[in-house]
Amino acid sequence: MPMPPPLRRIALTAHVSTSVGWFGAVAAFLAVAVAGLATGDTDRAHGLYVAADVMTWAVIVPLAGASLGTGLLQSLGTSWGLLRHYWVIAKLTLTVPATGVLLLHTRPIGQLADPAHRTALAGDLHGLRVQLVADAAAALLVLLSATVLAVVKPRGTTAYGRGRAGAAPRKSPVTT
Amino acid sequence: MTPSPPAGAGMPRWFKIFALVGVVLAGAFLIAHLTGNVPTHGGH
Repeated sequence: MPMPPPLRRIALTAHVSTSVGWFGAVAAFLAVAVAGLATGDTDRAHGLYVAADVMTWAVIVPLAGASLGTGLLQSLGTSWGLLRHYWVIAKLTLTVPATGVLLLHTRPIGQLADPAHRTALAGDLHGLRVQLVADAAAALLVLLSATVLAVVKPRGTTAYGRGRAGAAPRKSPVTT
Repeated sequence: MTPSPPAGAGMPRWFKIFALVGVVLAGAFLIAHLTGNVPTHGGH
């Protein structure tokens, strides 16, 4: 169902804003995770993981959901479609698992922020702190790949997309 | 807008590489988690 142009522009603005915001928030999270891993001060490390927990729930998770939602809206509301172009499929297969893994990994972040685990930060939870840095770096890479796909839009139409293009006159799509 | 390939063209090479890398990474992720080689998810 095609969206009228004003609504399409609003949806596009929302999608770009939330996607770039998601990327920026993960970059900030990575900085906090690296600082938490590098410090030898348990109190400082605990404070940093509390900040990381707040960032996760207040910024990263809502932006991830909004980016995914507005992306789906953009796909379904324009002639780009959800399954017509390989770049849209590729972007979707990057962001859906990334959101799932993000939600799975909120638990270890909460563990590190838990005051009950403050004394274990230097010992038993060291591996978890390393993992937080690795996860954030991997998430940045995934989000960067999605951004490149959205900007470059590599060519390739699926058989379904070719069928749809043959059935209906093509309109100029507007999306990221 | 990037022009579409001619009708009848198959899956583009970049997408095949993307899918192959994705499958390898997903497999590595699953194996690492199944074998417990990641210091994660309450494993302390």
